[in-house]
Amino acid sequence: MTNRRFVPTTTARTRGSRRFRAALPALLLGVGFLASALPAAAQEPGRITGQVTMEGSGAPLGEVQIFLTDTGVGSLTRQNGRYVLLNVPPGSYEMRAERIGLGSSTAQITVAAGETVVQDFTLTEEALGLDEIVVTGTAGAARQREIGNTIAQINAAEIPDRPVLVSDILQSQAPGLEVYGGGGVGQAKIIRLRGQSSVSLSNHPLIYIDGVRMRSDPLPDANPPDRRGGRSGNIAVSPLDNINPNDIERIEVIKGSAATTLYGTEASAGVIQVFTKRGAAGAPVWTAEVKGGSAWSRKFGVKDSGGDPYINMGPWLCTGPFSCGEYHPGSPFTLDYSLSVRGGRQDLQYFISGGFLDEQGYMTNDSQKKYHTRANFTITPATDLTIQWNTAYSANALTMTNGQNNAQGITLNAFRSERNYFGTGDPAVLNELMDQQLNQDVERLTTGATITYSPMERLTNRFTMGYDFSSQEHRNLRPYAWRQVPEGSLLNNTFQNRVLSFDYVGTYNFELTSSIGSNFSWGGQATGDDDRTVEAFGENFPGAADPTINSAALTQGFETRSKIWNAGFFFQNVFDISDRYFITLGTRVDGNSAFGKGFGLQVYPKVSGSWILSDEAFWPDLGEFKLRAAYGQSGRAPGAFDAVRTWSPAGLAGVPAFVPANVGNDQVGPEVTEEIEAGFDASWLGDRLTTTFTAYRQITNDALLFVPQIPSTGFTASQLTNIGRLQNQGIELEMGLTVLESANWGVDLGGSLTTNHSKVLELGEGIIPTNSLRMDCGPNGDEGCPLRNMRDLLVRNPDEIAAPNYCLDRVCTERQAVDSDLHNYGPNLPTTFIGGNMTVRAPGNITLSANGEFKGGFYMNEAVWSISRSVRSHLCFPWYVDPQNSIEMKPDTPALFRARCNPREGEGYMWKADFFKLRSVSATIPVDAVFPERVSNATFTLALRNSYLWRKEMPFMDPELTGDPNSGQRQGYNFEESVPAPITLHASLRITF
Amino acid sequence: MNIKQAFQSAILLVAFVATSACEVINPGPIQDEFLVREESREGLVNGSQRRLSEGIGWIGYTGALVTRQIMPGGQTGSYGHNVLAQGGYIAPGGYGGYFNDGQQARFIAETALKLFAESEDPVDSEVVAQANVWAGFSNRLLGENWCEAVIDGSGLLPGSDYLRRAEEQFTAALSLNPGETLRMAATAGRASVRAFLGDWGGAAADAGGVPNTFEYSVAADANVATTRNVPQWANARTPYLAFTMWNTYYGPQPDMMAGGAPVRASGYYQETGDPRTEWFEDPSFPWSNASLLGYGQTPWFNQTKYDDPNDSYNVASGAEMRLIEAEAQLTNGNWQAAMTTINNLRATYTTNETMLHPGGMPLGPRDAMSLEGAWTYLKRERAIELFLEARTLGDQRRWLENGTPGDIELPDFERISEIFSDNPRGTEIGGQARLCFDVPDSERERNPNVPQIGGGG
Repeated sequence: MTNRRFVPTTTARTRGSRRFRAALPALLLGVGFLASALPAAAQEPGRITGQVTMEGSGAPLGEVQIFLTDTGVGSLTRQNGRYVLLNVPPGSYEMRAERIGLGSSTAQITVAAGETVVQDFTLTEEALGLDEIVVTGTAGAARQREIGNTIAQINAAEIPDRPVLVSDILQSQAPGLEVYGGGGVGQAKIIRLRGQSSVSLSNHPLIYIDGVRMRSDPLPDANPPDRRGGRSGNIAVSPLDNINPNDIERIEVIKGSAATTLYGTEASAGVIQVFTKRGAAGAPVWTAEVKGGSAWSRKFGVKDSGGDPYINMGPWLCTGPFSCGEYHPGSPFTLDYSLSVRGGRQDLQYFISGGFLDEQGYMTNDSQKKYHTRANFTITPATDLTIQWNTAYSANALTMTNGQNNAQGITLNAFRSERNYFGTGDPAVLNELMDQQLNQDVERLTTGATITYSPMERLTNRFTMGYDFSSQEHRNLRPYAWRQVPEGSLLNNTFQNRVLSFDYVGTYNFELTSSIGSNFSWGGQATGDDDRTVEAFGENFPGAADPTINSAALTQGFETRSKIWNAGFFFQNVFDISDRYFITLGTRVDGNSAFGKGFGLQVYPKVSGSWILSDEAFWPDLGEFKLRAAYGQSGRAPGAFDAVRTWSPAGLAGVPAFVPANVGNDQVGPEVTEEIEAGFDASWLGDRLTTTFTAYRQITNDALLFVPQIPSTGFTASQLTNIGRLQNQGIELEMGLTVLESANWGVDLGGSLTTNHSKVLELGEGIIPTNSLRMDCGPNGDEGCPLRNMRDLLVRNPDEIAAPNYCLDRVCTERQAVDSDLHNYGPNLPTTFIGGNMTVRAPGNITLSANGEFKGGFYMNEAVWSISRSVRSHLCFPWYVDPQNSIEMKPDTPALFRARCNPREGEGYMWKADFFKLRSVSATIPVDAVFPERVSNATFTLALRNSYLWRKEMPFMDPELTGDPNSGQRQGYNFEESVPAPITLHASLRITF
Repeated sequence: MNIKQAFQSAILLVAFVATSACEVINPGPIQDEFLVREESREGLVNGSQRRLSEGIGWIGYTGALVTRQIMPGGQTGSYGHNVLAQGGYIAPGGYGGYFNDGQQARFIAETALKLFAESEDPVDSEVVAQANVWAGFSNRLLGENWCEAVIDGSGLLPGSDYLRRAEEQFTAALSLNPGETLRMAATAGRASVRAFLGDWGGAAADAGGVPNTFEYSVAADANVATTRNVPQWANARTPYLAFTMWNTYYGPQPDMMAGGAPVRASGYYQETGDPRTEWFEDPSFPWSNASLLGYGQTPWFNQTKYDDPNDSYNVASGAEMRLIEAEAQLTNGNWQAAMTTINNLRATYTTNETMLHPGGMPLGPRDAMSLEGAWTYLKRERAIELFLEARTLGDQRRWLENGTPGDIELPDFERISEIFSDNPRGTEIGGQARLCFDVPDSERERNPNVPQIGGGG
């Protein structure tokens, strides 16, 4: 039986220990010294040169790691596939060539003093990568062939236009992985894996980095409705986006409960694990990248309406790479500098990086300066012991334009023109809003160590301890003499989150018979999640000086904190029959401090199987084929206070006051999602065509819903209760086709089709599916209604020159319509995703890539411009008598527009939200030739992102314009009074030496 | 300790943590069992005041729209109302939040009374009296503003049940012989509910025991949004500018426009200098926020009864007691005595200087010529005295339902916008317009004892 779980080594333990001790001082002395401290070249060295190409086509392969095992000698190939190893001490070596996604190659060579050895390699493409090692969702590590569930791997090196945000890397990269929203400078995006399986709790996937649990949810908005400061219009920042994309080697994504069982409670939204680069044996390899670019807004107003295509926001926006409005400080830019070094010996390897990102956004006050650094060390003090220690720190300083649905924000007031909070649409007056200062400083530290100890060949222990710290200071200053708060006010909200995690996994391999192997794993995890918020507010400043809270005449302070611990253990066994049949059985048991006292522990079982059909003798030589199926459960925990009956200790006029908060539920437990998935991975046509297909069905039992209480009994807040059953099901089909592959030319096409349909199977007795439950299904809608169903009035006579009629069986006005007259439009979440990508490789290894995505089968309510406040809507301009001054309608206005444009109604804004976006178009050009030979790789990349949008029905804005990813209400696709994400153009130069 | 020993220790640590019960006590919210403690009593009783404050703020604001004491500017959403509500229509089944405030105020005070009764330790009678007083005013708020009652998950009850409950609670407070302030508050509170229930003898007797200068109020607190003075915040440039005094009985009149601007020297305040109806304007903000359907932007004039978000709401006063006495006199047909009572009360106020009236003088008398005229002045005087205190909606309802003479002098909003004529003022119960809030859908959907379909059905 093949076992590829451990790094093979022939180094004696004692020698390794000595090397470790010798290298320790170097470890402490930083990058430059560390690099120079590694072994110097021997006398009369030789050199090795050659080229790495793809088997079959002969296409050159860049960024292949070439190294002599057990030495500190190594390098990367240039884009033309060529490499050179200098200063090689004379002797015999094992030489390896490796690149993620390709099969490795080994050669035995002998180097004589002063001699040059030519050694070429050809690597094979592993179409399905059945023997690739994955670790996410498995106990320890496993080969792809053993796993019964699908697991998506995103190889960063294969993404031609590496964006500045990690969430952008994930976009359109795997079926079932959905990324949307955001768009502001530094703004978090919403990430969903196989849709939403919870209506009340977070649907953000768990995020791990190098085995360490990090904060998964975006950092909270400092948007305190309870304070005098009003809404702040700041943005949510994602911890994921504080990782330097250049540090990432690969990302593994597991999507459903069939795969996430071993993560237990909190994992039913899926798991994303980021793997950063590690050191590699060899001389120091430096990589430097400089990226520059611009961003600008596309037109988002109603086309051909006679209205402004930027809905009055032009003065504060850039509308082209060098064209900005009167009140924008100048051209927006992105400057991103990144430098890293990797290298080491067999017993100590390092990867160290640093970077600085400087951005000026396409809106007036948007900017960010982000610093990040990382140090990853792999230490092998003994043959049976490996320590991986990774640490990353980032600091991000953001300034923001005060936007969103905010009475003191520019977007709302500009959109509404003279019917806004200023009574005027004059840009000179509205520009006073730009004097408000919104700053957000985010610091993140993630550090963790994984110790892998294998005292016997068959036994492996892996222990990981991690600490993830987030700190965010949000400062919101309305300066003295600001029109709407003339006395001035300042809010300072400081949020801290600490995630402390412990993870132990033990694995023991043994053989039951000559053809049946067993891989038994056990382990436990404990994760503590600690939130602390301190907020200070001050108002009435003495003058125009730059204030602190202490400057204010009136000050207030607030504090909240909560802590949740989740701990569990698991057992799993993988039966390996002839290396082609695999059966996995496992279970996880969890306790959680947020469970009710009467609840106890939660058990999550799993079972999966895979069959490598193509390894069977009867299988014709068509390519590889793997059948797989998996069943598993995982959960999601309630909040810290949901189990207990509580009173809120708010005060009134300086005196304590207790008011009912939470009625409590001592039986509350996690909502448990069970999932069954089945599918196949196949390659055809000599591995030129790959196909991955998965069908899945998720049932969330004991779904946690906020159940309204009877108000007259005193506790009026809804109580999180385990009721109801919800379903999510769909398919994921992904195909890749190599159309042309030769030494000079290559054409690859890729496509995917994903569906996701949700359904409310049943609800608790007496529970009416209403909008507050995010399943507004109507009186009988609890049978088969999708989650986040869009239910609203429908204008039944849209084209008639008459008053709108909202009833099917009679003529009725809006007020006469009753609940049963409402129309079920459909879900608010996309049900169909179609992705497509194409890569063309031209002579000179120039690569052109494009990727786009269609989302469809959903509806949005996009009622912009506050019709009910008699704001003039550009959509209605063709039907206004005098659109620039009044909302009086023309007599021949059809019923649909009477409904839309009449402030008493404001109906008819439900749109079929299908759209297509061209996510990116890029060109990568090798430019090694213009650099000295010492530069092993140099590429120039030009990338245009978000450049084209097609909408089926929606006449304005962007269907992905969804604001705050933290807000439960906004986890669907909703309109925000904001400006859509910009088009960006970035050019980057990356060199490796 | 070598690396392997450290590793083995770490494994043991994980095993310990993983198998422990994960007991975590989080600070912040108070768990139920702590309420019985002596140190919790004041906070518990005060919780009722807090919810009462929130209820009065919002109900007073919305009630003022329905009773046309204020003019909407067009603001919806935050601190605004939808178009129907701006027009004075109370959607049946709506306003669950207001209902929650009133119900919680009642529930907290009544829970406190229950805990005090069960306590083995003696409870300060002043604290018990205070709980009774807040319970009484909470029930009064519900009884005066809701058409029907629901108590602790009951079925639908007559709205007057709240008021009878309030009367009992005020009586219970008085039976504890509390200090003068609480005694006056309970007496005044009982007078007001007896008046609403038509017990004019009892009401007048209670009212007579409360001097002109007495005021009892519920605190507002700007520290938290929900407890700030709601009408002040909605009206001011906070930035909501949600309503205006323009076109009301008190403010500049729309039929007196000069060069497109309203003539300031018009309306009751300018004519009388009555300090209770003062308004001001701000040249930096000439218009209310948003736009009123069919009219456009409305001139913004800010009331001054509440000029700070910490301003408290009166729930009882000597002035109201005088008006209860006057109304009792009117009920007995003695309109001349009632006018004397009203005018004596007016004379206690000193006028502001306005464009049409000198300042520093006693507020001038009203001169009624008949019982009907006297009722009209009584109704206006109560509207002025109880402005934005969540009382006028109930007043207008009982006068309408009791068929009292006189006029409530509704300003002509219909000429400004059709939103004021499209729907009835108030709600619709069983197809009939009523000046009160309907039991909300949130109660109907969850309470099996209440019909699911309310007034709207």
